[in-house]
Amino acid sequence: MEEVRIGVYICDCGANIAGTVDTKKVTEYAQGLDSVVVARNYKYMCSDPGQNLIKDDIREKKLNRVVVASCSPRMHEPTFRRAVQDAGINQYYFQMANIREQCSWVHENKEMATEKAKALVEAAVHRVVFHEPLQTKEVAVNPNVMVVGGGIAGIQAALEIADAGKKVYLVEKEPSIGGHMAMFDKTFPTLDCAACILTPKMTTVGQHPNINLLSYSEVEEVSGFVGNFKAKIKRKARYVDETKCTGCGECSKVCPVHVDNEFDVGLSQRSAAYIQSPYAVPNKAVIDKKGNSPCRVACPAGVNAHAYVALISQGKFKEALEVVRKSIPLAGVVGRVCYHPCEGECERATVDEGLTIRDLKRFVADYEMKIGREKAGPAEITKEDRVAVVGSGPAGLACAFDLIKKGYRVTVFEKSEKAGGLMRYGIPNFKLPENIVDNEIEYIKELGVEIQTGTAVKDIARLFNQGYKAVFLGTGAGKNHKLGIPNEDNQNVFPALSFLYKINSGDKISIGDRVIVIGGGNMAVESARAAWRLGARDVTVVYRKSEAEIPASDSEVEEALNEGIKFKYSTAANEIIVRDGKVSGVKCISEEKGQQSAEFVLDADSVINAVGQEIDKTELPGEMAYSDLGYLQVDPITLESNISGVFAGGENVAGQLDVIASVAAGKAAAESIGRYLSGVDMREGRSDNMPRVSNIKKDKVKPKSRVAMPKLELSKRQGNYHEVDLGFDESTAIEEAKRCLNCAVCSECMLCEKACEADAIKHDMKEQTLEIEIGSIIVATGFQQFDPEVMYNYGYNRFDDVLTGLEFERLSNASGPTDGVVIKKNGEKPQSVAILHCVGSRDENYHKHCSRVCCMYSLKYSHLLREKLPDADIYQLYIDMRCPGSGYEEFYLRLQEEGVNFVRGRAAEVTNTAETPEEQGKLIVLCEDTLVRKKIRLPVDMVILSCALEPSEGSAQIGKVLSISKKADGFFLEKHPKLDPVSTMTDGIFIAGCCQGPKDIPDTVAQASAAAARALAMISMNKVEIEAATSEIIDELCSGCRICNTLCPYGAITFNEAKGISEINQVLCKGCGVCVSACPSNAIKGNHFTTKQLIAEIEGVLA
Amino acid sequence: MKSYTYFPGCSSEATAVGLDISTRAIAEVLGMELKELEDWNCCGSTPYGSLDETESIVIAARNLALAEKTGLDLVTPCSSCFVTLNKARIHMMEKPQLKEKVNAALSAANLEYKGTVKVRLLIEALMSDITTKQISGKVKKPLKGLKVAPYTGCQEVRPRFGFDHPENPVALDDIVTAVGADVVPYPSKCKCCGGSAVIAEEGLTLELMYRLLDDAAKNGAECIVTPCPLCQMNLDAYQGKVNAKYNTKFNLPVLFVTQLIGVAVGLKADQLGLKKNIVSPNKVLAKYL
Amino acid sequence: MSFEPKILAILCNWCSYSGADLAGTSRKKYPANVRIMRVMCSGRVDPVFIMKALESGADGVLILGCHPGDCHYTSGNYKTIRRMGMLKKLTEQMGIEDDRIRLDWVAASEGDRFAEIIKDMTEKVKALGPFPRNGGDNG
Repeated sequence: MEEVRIGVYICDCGANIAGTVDTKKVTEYAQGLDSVVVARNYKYMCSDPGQNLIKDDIREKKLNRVVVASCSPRMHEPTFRRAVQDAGINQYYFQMANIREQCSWVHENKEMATEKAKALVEAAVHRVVFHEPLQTKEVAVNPNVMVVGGGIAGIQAALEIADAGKKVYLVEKEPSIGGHMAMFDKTFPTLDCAACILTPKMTTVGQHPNINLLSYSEVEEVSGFVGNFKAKIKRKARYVDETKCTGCGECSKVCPVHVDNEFDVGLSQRSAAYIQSPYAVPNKAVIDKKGNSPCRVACPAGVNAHAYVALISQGKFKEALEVVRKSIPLAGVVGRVCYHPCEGECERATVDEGLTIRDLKRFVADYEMKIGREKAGPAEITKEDRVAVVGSGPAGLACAFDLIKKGYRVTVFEKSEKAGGLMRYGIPNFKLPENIVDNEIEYIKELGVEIQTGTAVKDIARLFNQGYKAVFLGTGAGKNHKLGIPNEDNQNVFPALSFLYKINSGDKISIGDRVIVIGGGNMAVESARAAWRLGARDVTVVYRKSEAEIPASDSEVEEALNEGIKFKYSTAANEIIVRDGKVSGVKCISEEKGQQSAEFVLDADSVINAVGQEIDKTELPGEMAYSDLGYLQVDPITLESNISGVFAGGENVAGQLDVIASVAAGKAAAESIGRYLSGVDMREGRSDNMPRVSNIKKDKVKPKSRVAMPKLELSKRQGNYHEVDLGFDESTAIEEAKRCLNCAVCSECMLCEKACEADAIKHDMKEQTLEIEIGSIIVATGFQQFDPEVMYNYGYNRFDDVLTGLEFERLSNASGPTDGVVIKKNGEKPQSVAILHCVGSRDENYHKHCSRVCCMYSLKYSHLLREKLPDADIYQLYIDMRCPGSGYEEFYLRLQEEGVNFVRGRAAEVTNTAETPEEQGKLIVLCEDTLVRKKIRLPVDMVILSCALEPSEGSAQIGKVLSISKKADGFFLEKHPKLDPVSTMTDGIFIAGCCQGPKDIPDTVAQASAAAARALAMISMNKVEIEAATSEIIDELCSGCRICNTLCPYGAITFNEAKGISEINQVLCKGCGVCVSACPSNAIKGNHFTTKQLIAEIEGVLA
Repeated sequence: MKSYTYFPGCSSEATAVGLDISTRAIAEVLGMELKELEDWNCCGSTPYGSLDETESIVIAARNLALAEKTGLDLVTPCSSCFVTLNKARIHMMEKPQLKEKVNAALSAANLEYKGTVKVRLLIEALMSDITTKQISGKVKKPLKGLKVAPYTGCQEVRPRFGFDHPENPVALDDIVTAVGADVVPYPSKCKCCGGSAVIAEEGLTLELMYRLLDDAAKNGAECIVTPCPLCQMNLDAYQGKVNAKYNTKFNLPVLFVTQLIGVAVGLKADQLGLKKNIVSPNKVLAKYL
Repeated sequence: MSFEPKILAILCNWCSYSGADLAGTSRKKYPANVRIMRVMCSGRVDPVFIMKALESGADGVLILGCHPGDCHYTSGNYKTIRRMGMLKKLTEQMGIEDDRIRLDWVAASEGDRFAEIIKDMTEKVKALGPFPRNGGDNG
């Protein structure tokens, strides 16, 4: 090995080092160290003469190692490396000792500082002995650039690069570019209209051949290194085909869903289908769809509850009913009797009370009847095959409805005189009037479904012989369970099913005065209520289990109680007592808490058996297979029975079912039959799991209870079966529907699709991922406004007319919610306005920094107010007026001349508690006028809070993806605050605009151009040097243990099966050294940070 | 049973006897063992600090040094004592040289302040250790229908020690709700009662007290509750003078929070020192006592 | 003459070394007992370095990396946590006081924090006395 000859150079750095460290002593000390040929001391080593000292020594004294003790290597390591290289030795034969930032500047004790400097120099000398001549690599630079963020910074950077002939991907997460600047009214100090100066740039971006505008997109992942990045971009689904959309806005007009408009900072509303602003680029609609609303997901029959509620809120009743009929018939029935699982999931319940979704469905069905239903046109028959449906209850009718819509001819066979099943015969008219059932059945018949009443069908084979190709059995469970107690066959004991059948057929029944109903379902309670209407004075429902367990719905029980019906819980009926051939009572036993007490007798004239239903097997074909419980056995997915081509669903399969569940079964069977007849697999894709939307915004919702269903007065119910629930009128329905939170935002009502003449709406669009390759990245993700709600004393969101800066921008903007007229919430013009500076800025409790632009934009607001309200009193409450920059101070002077009152004093509080008559009805701002040393109370009509600029959420996200550091205040860390404000620590990633720190538009534009210039410089050089200090595996030493394989965050280490050893990809390796210290065989060499070098440094520094 | 070293503070023996009596009474009921600090001295409060800062910290530190020996948290019902003792602790923690000086002085009494004792406000100990849930659980006579205006005072929330919000304090409100009474919201909730300025600037402070009483009364309060002995004294003892100056007829009893809790958990008037209140609470509390 | 400990601090280039530089540019003062050496990532720190340092004359060793979650190389500092954890188990057995070896985090913007940590560590190691590298007999 050749002799090591080291030159050591101790810098004074003027007095910066020499003032504390005795550099002469250190130089002397260095001279005495092993292998040190020459040690010098100079005032400024980084200067030309200083560097020449080194270069001359290298040549003349044949040095092959150099140590410089001066500032931080992060400052000048590149400088000295270059110098050394110039003089002819490899740049890695160089080591720096930091005796300034980490020594002279931080220590007061000169002796100790000098001793420390000696130690640091000795460390460097020991280390440099073992340095090796590494070669830097050059890699090609991909000329494409990615700009993240489409505000003014991103737009400017993109244009600069595109105009230089290079390709730019501009990624913006909102549907349109423009950022905050697009929201402003005018810009200071020239008072240019923001949109006027911005929109030409936006348009150019949209049309530039070199700019690929990826709007409504987010950067998900970035890998690679400078010059060679790979980015994965998530292109969110717009549900609008951008190539077809003309930006006409018709979709937005018809959309029934209204939510807060973010562009107007919540001061106005927008539709779910919308275009972000009048000058959006791209000028294309987007549909805000977050998933599926909980109500919709909850419906067993797949009815889009959200859509119809949204349509009702806009008075579109016909369209709402169409939405229901897309999924099911029988809207009027279901709207009265459904157990509404949708309401159970309604998120509004977490605010106050859930919506009356079921009652709203009833409303639209009734509304259609009220105005007169147009006859439904027959459905188009497109299929040859005919299908038979046995049973015209909800299951059968729903099956027929779906089948005819698929184009099949359907015949429904109904054994009773009239169609409707239990809907007609099982539910009393006071709950579900007969004419409603009639209307729904008429509608189904008008579609073309043939219904043959009075026709019982048991012979399936005959149906097939008649030419039907498939059969659905919707025969229900029409046999009453037996009570299983003595005397249940007495003539005064009525099975509920036949009791209700008779009543619904208009037959007379005499039941006497005292009636006991045994059972706890809705049927039991409805029987009780029917009995009451027949004249029974004493009606009791006897239920075996507790009150909490009764299956009847709460509203049913409540209504029954209103009607005077009694409930006896935890009571079992053991025997019907008969005297003289007539029922006289029921022997009961209490079953409270599992303990049986003594028997007792309840007097009765009649008993209604409402303990449940079962199938009457005698009514079904003999070949059917049954489950253990006695119901029809069918495949759980396809609903096919044991006989091929014969399907069944509803209560004949599942026992007691709610109407909607039977409907769902009928629909499922129709799907199966459709597939069966087309030869398509019946099982594939059947369980369609709809993801339910979460994270619903509820914070600004004011509590308002649900509307009450008007009911028939009690006095008017006796002796008749008039419907009790009277239904909503139009205004009530609209009022209730407006309470909907629009959980998923877009409800898929499909009105936009109908309205779009360009056929651009595509609701089944999916999110996509785009992978791109770029050489450099510019981050321009901007800022967000501080939310002053946390500053309780300023009253934001507590008092009307306290606005944030952005809210005022929108108010003042001609394209804003009030067309540019400045008015209070109550519509009046304010006579006085106070603008409060430094809200959230310069504040120990929130943000310590000054947001730089607020003084200027506050002046701007004063000017705008002065223009729009010439006689108003305008106050600006400031701490300091910060107006640096071209024309800024002059602007301040101008405002003073416009008669704005400047009060030097930070506002303490905004209150509405008046102390004098003049203060009544005003917002009073309390502050101290420090120039006259008086505490003042300013009664004003409106308060504007000049809020701080803080790092945006988008910045936080992209920061994580790119691993770029943040400063203490949360803004991105620049490489050097003075000399390099556009680079980050990561080569190839640049920052521009407010994401680096609050600044105004001129500075933002300048910084964006600077970042663009940097990127272009890289591209024009066509190559970039990357660090040589990577790690490599020494083949001979590697044992193939593979411990290192999983350690590399860049995936640079792979295992070579053939050789049986691991290998490190030199291009991917970033030289962190984590694998080096993990290797148990010491087989990995961390170049320039080898173990040998580091140990030498340790020994040297502690010597 | 949680144990604490109890620092009553001087006013507990004079103008705020009611606070001391009721604190000890409810402590038993709520499961707090209060062991009075042996040989405690006046904390110094605001006046001493304006004479000599270091000395004022020494006399506060003496209490802290004594308290350290017990190994328990030091709890005081007086807002001002809390601030004085806690500030002394924080100053000594941040400035080691000050701590040295103080210990040099304390050594004359064979005492040493190590910096291990925690200084806590009674109401904070009630909220954090006992919790409103437990307080509710011990309520025998829920003060249903009693309209209470909670007045927190300034010392409890400034400087920010992390307990309760200075612009919108809610701890006292939560306690009022926990004992079943109705919180009366009133805008002057966070306005000063005049504090010790009542001694030198009575006229000015009477104006402040008038505004507070007026606001509370206008919003329907039947009584005021406060944790601070000075606030209680001002609003209670000077109510008569306010009435005289402003020609008003305020008759709002000003209760200590511990007295309010005491009534709710079923203690009697004499167990809570209610007789010491100048504006008599007897009528307002009649149906609960 | 009172004992002045020697503390070796190994700092990672991206966060803690920059933080130390920031302390310098802000002229924050701290005791001169610490000697700093630079690695690219705290994950490069082999436990052997720490033992070597103690053997070679250090009375305390301080490793400073980026805050967990902010490592410039994504996950290097997590490895450091595990390694130091294992090392501590060993050193505890050897009777080396816990305060002599410390792992902490300093971000590039935390010049103040860096100075505080140095002050604190220096005080603690000073209180512990010299590291007994020759079996309690410090030559």
